[in-house]
Amino acid sequence: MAQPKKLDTTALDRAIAAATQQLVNRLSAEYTSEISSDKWKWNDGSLRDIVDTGRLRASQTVRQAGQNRYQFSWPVEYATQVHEGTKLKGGGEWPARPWTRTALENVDPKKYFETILRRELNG
Amino acid sequence: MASVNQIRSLINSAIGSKLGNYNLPDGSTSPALWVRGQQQVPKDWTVTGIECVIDEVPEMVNKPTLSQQVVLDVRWPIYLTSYDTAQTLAEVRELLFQWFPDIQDPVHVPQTDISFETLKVFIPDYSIQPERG
Repeated sequence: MAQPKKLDTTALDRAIAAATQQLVNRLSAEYTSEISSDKWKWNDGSLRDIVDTGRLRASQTVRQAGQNRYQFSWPVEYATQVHEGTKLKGGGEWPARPWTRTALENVDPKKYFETILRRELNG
Repeated sequence: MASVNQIRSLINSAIGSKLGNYNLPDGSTSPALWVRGQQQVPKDWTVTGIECVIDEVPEMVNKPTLSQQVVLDVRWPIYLTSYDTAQTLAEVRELLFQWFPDIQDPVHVPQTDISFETLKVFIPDYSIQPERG
């Protein structure tokens, strides 16, 4: 009976880690770019970026949450309200400006990851 | 796929009794359940209690299959806002989750010193388009 052979996944693991890191870098740049882009419709119909004081954009944080798992966050107290839109107690509202969703649409993470992974594996 | 009127009717059955009112300039009131599309809530109306807004047109994503069929992921965005700072959306949220167990992507944001409590959910409405041609 043939001896079972252990599959060496070192090269695959290395390629996945490299592709994940490159995807994280790409997304990081895209999120910042989307926040800075004057594409977001404001209440008066004008198009603006999402930068007022710059705190939200500067707060962008990415942390490794596990092997090949990364988590982006924007830890300012009003980030969700800016992203989802909200009704203000003083009257008026903020429109939703979902920069994470548009960034993910722009990058197409699955396709990006596949491309990098293929390149890493093929050397 | 359901019509927006069917969705409105379902939402009304689920949480209608918990919703507040629109106060119209002539002194009359209307349940605070609005379908947003061609018409926004008139600016001279005020809201008391909890308001529910449904988008007239749902979000739609098509998923090709190996056959010529297309699966359409249709989902209706529902927005709730509590204009009464003493009334949370917790009870309405529970009711919605009981009525629609497959609700997607809930975003519940508490009130802050400047903004009201809000809840956004998506109600899925699956649809399969048969082969063409």
